[in-house]
Amino acid sequence: MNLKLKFIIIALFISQISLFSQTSSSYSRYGIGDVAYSYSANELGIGQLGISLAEPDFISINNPASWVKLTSTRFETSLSYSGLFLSDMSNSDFNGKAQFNGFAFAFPVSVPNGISVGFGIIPYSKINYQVIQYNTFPGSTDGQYTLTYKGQGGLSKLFIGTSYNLPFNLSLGATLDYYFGTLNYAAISNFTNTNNISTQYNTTYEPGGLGTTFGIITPDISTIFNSKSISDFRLGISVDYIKSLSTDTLYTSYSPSRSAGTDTIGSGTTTMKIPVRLSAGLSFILNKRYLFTLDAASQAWSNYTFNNTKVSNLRNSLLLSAGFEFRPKLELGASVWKQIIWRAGLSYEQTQYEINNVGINQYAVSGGFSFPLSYANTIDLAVQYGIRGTTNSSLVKENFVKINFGLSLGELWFLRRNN
Amino acid sequence: MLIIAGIMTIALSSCKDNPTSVGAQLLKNDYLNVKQVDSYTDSLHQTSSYYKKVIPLGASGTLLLGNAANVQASTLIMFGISLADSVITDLNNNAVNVVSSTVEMTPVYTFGDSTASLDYSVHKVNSVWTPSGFDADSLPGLAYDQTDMSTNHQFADTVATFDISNTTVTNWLKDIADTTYYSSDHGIYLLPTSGVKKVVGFEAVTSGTTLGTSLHIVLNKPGVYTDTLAFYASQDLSVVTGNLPNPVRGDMYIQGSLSINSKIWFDVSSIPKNALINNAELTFTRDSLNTITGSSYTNTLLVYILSDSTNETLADSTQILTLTGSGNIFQGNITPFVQRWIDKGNDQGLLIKAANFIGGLELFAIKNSSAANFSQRPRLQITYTVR
Repeated sequence: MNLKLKFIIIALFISQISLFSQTSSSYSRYGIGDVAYSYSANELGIGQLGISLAEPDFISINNPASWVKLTSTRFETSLSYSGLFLSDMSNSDFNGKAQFNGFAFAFPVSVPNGISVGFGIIPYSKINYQVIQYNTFPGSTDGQYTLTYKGQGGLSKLFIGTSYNLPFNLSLGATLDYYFGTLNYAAISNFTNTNNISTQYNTTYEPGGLGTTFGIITPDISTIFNSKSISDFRLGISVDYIKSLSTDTLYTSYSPSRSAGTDTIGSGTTTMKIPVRLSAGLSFILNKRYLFTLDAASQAWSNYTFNNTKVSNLRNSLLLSAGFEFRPKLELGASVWKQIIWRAGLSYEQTQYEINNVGINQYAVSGGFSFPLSYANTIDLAVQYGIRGTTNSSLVKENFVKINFGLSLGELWFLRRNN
Repeated sequence: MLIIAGIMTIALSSCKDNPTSVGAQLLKNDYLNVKQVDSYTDSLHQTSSYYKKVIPLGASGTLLLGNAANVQASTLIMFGISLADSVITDLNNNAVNVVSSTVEMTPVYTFGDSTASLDYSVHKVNSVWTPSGFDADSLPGLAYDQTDMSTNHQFADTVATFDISNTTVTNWLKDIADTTYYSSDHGIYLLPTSGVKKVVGFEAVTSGTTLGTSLHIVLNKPGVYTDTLAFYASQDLSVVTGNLPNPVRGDMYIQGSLSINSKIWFDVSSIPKNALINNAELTFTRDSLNTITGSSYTNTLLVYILSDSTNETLADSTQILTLTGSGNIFQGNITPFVQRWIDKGNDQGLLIKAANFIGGLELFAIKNSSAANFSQRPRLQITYTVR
């Protein structure tokens, strides 16, 4: 079997495995957790979005219209590591987590018509926290006890879609998405006195349902600037719509003193309504080498409902990002170091979280590169450093580092041989 | 691949799973509360009572005989007799005589005045009885000869013997030898003489290795042989009768064999539904003045959960917890039972039995829910978690 194919199969298998340990952002307790705007090093390197980008060697998940440029079958996957420095008014902590971020696969069906088909599975949101409170029984000899709060899981997006070049080089793309996942929240009491048994409350939500992503990218409109320096000026828009997700809910408690251990407090099926995400961006190339992007993504999380009830502590989110990419001129005989694509980005995010009447904002810088392995194949690396939140108002400030390591593999498949 | 391995190694080695409290303040909606309730300090309402419940004692490993305190114990024994063909032939030909018939018992337990003598009579039983179906309430229906068929009572620390009527034994043997007759062997009934001040426990036949009481019959075929045949009890049981002890204000009672059980109920309605019980400790204080114990006993009480306190119906007869005695305190963990009260929303209280409820006669006097000294009342201490 082709080595590349073997690698793809292995990557598909492990792409949904979350490695041990975890970051601990208690903000992710609210709503559906931290929203994942990007899964690949390419997107992370330019500030996460790239709505108007259409490149032949990159599968954008934010705008399927970008697939019109694909000229070869591509497979992308990534592994990320997140290191999180947490601090509040009195304590600080560091923790980290590594996990696979899913994959995307796309191939051109008709290059002249911009018809490509893509599918994949990527994270849509992530919940990850584990905090522990230490307490002592007042006036008792029972010693200490701890209360641990854990949240894990998130929402994933399985998508399949296509792109098409409309007249006037207007690119159109759409995907049919299936959202699914498990959101687990646990609260555990533990005791130093071994006469006391540990007990646990669990809440589990399992949402599932369909959605769609629709995107448009304009043709190159750089001529309006009448400048030789600016080229490939494009605008892009994408809309993520998620139908109400049918959500199985299960509330249980666990005590080893019961013969069955677990007791169901309540269960049922309800709905989770995730608001539409609107994204827009522009991009252009300066002096044929320097790509610039400006993007925005907005989502009205204040309209998020669970069980037909709005959730407090959520507000409308807005992500603004700017990206830069340098692509060296491809020359015969150039060393691999001279073929490296460099990226950098800035982002500001008004996150959906609003705790204690304070909005939680995030600032981040990122950078990265694509290292060529061979023609159309790269190893991608991106690093993002950011700050989220504040220690004021009994909140938590997070300094985080994300390292995204990806593989972007391309090969000519499915193309009809010309006689 | 080397690059991949390197990055994964760095990533994984940086993982840390040692959470701190940072961020806990953001999770207030999920907060757990751990609380403690103590019937002593929080004045949980409680009630207690005791009652007598007659039970069959056929499964006991001890045969009780005698009078002491509030109980009278009598014993039924039936021997498993099987004969060789030659003996059957001799019996059917009236060729053999029973020379002597001696019953041998092994004392293992004493309750009451250990220095007192044990006087008793032995009677031939004329009605059918079974170890599993016969109890104190069955006793008035037991048919037996009023004549004492025993003689030559001997009692030592390790063995007690008495002789029984050779005529009766001969009839038993002949009934066995001649299968055309129904057997008249329904065993013997040992009844203590009034005025006896102690109860002695003897080894009973059990499903284990204990053989219990034995019957030694000396057979003589004139001029031919004299043989001693030994047979062991095939079934036996004690019947313990008596009354509840004279009530002492502030006490409840627990006694095996008779048997006396106690019930206790605590009002745990202050614990919220869906609470998780981390620990529940039940403590009893023994009234040592009114407690009577035997020569050996298990210093433990059994706790059952009731589903109907009026009819003393158990919620689960297989789920038994224990209160272990130490000094004047019985204490044990009843977390599963309190959890069940909370889960089911049906607190019918607990049933307390003696650990040796079919073999011992220990009378445990326990300070009850209305004991004058509040600190000696039954105490329930609960630690629970609630969200």
